[in-house]
Amino acid sequence: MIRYLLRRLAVAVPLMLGVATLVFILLETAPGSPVDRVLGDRPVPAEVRERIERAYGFDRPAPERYVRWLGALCLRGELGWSHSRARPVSRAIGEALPPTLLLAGTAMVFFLVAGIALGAWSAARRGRWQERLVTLLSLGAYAMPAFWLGLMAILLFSYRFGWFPASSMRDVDAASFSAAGRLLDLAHHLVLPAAVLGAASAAAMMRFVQAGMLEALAEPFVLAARARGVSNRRLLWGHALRRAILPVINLAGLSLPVLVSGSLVVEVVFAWPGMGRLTYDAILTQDTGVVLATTMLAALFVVLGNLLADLAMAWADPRVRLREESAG
Amino acid sequence: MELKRFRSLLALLLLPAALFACGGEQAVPEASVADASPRAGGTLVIGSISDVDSWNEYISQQSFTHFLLHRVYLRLAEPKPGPLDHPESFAPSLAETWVPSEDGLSWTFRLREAVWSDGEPIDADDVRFTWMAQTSEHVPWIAAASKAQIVDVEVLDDRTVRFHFERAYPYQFVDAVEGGILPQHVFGKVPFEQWKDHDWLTANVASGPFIPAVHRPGEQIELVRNANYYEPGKPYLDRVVVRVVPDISNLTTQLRSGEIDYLENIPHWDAESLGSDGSLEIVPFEYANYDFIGWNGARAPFNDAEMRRALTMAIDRQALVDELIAGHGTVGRGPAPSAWWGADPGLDPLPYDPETARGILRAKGYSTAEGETGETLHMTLLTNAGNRVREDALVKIQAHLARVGVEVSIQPLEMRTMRGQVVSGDYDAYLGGWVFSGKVDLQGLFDSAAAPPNGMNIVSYANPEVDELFAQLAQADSWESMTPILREVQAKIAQDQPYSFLYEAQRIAAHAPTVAGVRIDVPSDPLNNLADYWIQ
Repeated sequence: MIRYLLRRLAVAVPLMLGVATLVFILLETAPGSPVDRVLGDRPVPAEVRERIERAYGFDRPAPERYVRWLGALCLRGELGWSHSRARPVSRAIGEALPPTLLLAGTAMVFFLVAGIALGAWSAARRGRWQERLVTLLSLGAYAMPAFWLGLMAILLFSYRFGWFPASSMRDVDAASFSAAGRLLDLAHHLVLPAAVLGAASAAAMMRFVQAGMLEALAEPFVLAARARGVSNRRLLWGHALRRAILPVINLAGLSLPVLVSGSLVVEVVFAWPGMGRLTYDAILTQDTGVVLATTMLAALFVVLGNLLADLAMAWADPRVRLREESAG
Repeated sequence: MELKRFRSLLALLLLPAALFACGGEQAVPEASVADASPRAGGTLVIGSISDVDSWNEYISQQSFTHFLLHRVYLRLAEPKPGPLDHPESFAPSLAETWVPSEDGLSWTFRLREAVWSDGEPIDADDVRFTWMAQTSEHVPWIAAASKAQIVDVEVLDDRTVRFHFERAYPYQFVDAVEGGILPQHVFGKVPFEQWKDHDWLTANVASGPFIPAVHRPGEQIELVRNANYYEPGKPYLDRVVVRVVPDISNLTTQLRSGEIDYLENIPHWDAESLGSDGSLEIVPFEYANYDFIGWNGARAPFNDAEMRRALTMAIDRQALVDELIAGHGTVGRGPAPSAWWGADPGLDPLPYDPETARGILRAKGYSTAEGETGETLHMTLLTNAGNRVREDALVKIQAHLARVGVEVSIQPLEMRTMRGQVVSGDYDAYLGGWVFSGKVDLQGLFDSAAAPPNGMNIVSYANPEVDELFAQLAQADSWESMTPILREVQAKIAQDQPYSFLYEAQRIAAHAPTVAGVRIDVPSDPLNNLADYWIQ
């Protein structure tokens, strides 16, 4: 098992470097200088523009800058300096990662609970109006772009009703709250962005579970259980759902990197200070160090997500064995 | 489907619409009868799209950061309302008095008795140290060119400092006071070559009304009151919080709902709706800027001044002002922004005259309508994508020029892509703008020697008479002698139309009625009076 894990994790290193190299090349193909974006409409003399480019190393050839970055990473473990955040890249990521994990994790819980519950509930009401309604709503949630859904949620729940804050992770005066108060404040700010981020995934999950349940409910073992007098509730939640849940585990694992990367739009709309915002700001200001670091992290999440899905499948389904064990 | 079920489904589907229509808006508390006396205390919450990129004015490249930093690190003198870039337009700040030398080669400043927020005295060594930082090769300061003529900053005593200039010229004072004064005892601990890689929030010191206290990147900035600020009783606010939200729609929603108190730059089209019910105060203010179409002066037929005048006259610029910026602006007159002392108030914009435009185009051999003889002028008009006003302007200008037979392909491009294409000369025309902060350097924009890669004369405009006038301007030894030259420069450039000067837009701030003392009267510094704001 340990060797299996190490082998899977070892794949992450070349993957991350390969992705970072590709992103670097893509960033370098963008015309103009990063200084253009920052200066905008301000007319600045050529000699000052050149001085700014020299100070930040934008005048150096791209291969040189790549080698310097790679050398700092491999030899000293340094990710460089973020000129858009005025702090080391590692610190910028260290500050942005927890909010993203919190948001993605909460969204994941939401979409798992909502997707499984609604999928099972609608499968049990096949052919009835409840099933059609849930299907319609899930299609709508899946089709709506996250940024639009987010803006509508702000307009309705923040502006119209005043139930939830429109942005950020905490109240302006959160520092003066008690620990419990800060926790409640955080939860209050988390509701809207997590719901918006998880909405599309919940819709997809619902459809998966619904289809899996319907298939399971048609199986002979369910008929046999019904003949033995098992109640409908136990049939649904105890027998059919267990069968339908297996692909859900895979989907959940694969959803983790999607949530982390998909949070960019939600984080921008809700001004959530996570990795998505960090990456977005870094791309706009061509803060190459940050973009490369966040891209590598996204690649790592893909590897981890896949690994977690495989491990969960092996745990949930006794018929599934990890390749190492079966080979041994 | 049964009728009963259909009705149930219909009701459910219509529920969201009902929710939007009903439901009270967040009540924004109206201020009680305005209290004329400033009240100490309170927190002002400002909304901003931009975050602070560095707490060092000489490293930061962001305009909004500079607006905040001017409240932290004061200058020797601060601009005051009225004509800019003129000695009488500056009020004493860290310097109490100043006097020029007889030979016109130096200015002597006497500092007021003041201390930094940590109690250390503000002295002449800080001024000299700041000048050394401003002129260091390692410090990427945007306004570094302002110090080019200063050869030395001499410390005469603890509170007296003298700026020595290479030659006499009218902008000496403006150049001397440009940039906030930094505390040598804090900033001097970090070598200049490490400045751009240093976290300056740790400086924790200020001469201005506020001290940066908290910075959560991408989220929130907090500035707290500087108890050692030299103006007694000020600032009135205990705290200024900046909420960083990268979406303007979200910010205006928060302003309406009361989550933020102040927004400095609201979209023009939102101004009317935000102020319509009286729950918010709308404050339009002048901002030295204009949008233009830059014609490629190195490519026919745009290298023909008469052709450029025709194209300008074919564009209904007043309609652009009315439809794009909701009337919050004026038609562009010439190369100088109206909010600048050197702008010629007597210079009229080129009229909107499509008939005359057609006549010129026909004389040049172009057809201006279907069925006419002559070739059709095809051109591509670029702009930077993401700027909603400019993208809308592209469409309107395309329609205006179509009325005179010009077929325009519009192309919004990412900013760097557009700039790369324009600087390389591979374009017909582009829609852009200038935002001026402080000094307006027309020579850097219109002198033929300033064509790329040497300068900002991106459209490769060349007029020997204008170049000669710039040479005379450079030798002018007084503001009075500059004025007639500047007016002649502007008249010639306006006649040549290297740019179609489209419009000058106001900026619009909005704030809750509980915020009092709001005054925006210095175009290059919208937060200039932040120390005077208070919460009712």
